[in-house]
Amino acid sequence: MTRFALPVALLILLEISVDARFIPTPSVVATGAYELIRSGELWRHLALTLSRTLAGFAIASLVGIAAGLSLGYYRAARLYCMPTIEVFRAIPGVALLPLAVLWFGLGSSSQIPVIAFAATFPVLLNAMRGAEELPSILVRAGQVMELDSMSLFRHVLVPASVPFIFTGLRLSIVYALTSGVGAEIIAGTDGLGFLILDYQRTLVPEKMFATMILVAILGLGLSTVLRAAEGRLLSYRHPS
Amino acid sequence: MAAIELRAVSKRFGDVIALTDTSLSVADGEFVSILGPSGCGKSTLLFIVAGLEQASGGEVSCDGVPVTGPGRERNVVFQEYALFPWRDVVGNVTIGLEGHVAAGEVEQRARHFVSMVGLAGFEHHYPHQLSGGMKQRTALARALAMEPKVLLMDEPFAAVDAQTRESLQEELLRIWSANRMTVLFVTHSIEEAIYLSERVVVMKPGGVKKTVSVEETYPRGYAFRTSEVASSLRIELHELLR
Repeated sequence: MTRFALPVALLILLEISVDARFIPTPSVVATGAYELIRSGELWRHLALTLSRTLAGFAIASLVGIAAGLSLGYYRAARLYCMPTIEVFRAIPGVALLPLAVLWFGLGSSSQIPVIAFAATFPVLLNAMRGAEELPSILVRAGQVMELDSMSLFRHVLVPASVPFIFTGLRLSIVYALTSGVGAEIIAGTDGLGFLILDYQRTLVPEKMFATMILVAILGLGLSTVLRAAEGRLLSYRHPS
Repeated sequence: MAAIELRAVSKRFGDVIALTDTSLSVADGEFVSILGPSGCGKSTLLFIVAGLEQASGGEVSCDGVPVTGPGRERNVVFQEYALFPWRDVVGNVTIGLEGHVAAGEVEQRARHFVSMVGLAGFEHHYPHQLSGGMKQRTALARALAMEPKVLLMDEPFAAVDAQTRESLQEELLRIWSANRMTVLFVTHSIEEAIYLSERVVVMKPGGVKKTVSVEETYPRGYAFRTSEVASSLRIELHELLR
């Protein structure tokens, strides 16, 4: 119960203290959310944001895990590539949106690459760390068994890095969602980001807030799914 | 032909000289201990035989074949167990068998060696659920399952308590007597070297100081540990290590 105490306290505080001219009270936002859900206009936008986020995240995961593990395992590759990666990493994903629009056109086809770009780095860096931290004794054990490099990768490197990879994935999924919503705000004609901007422009603040909160809940949900998957995969750590 | 032959082997790590002009010959089926203080290069010597380290000079061969890298005929039991925490006891044994034994026999063979080391009933426990002694039994089962000609053991019982160590030593001798593989056993414990081996190679920093034979037949019971022979060897080895 303790974890709900702070959010509830905040809601009560907002309800009794805010000036409704600047911020709608929680109860008004709740009415907005109810309207949003009842009218059915929400679902299309939610589905679009979710599918873009997941598509970008899928690409980011594949690229990030493969590149991260390779970079972590091969020191030479790391020395060679890391400065470049550090530079690219500092570019906000949404800053690439204008370029992506030129290359791929408006909508999902430019948003998904932007999401993938932004979400690649957290999982890449964490997977790399996992491979770097691989205990050398386990590599030696594998060498003594004459595991080939494919088996070493599959049976030693990957499982040993799973905890690190999941830390990265949990960061990446939120990066994916925030970049996706950001891209929709900047140049979208649909999706939750577009809705937020649209309700601001048409002066419906309670729905604008309701959509923002929905984005937060979506992020929480995606994180929770990953956490559950991690728990299953790492069940060997806990007594059964 | 010697199971293990080192001729004038040297090893340096940068400016640090770990071994100089070290020669050693171990006969097929022999149990030899390498005894010495920390940092004398005894583990380095073992890893060179394992093919995990490359000698800087000299020759290393196993059954007359020059050692150029790790090989399944020379298996290692590490002090730190080196178990895969995401695999259960049987899984840790099967990993060394997959692709080398008919797929249908992998599990059965793993179970056979798991019970040989006294872990029947713990097949599906994960490493974190095992005591130090049980972890090392698992590592031993993994090495034995690959049926190596040479078993290389790097202070395998150093991290377990005294009682467990004694029972592990007894089991190791029992298994060795039944299989008669060649064993090269690194330890810093004088008692352990005497109890287990036919020959004790005493190291000094950088190389071999002296080799001492243990004239006692197997099986060696508990009485041997406290026997006159053992205690005079203990004094002799102690003097050599001073």
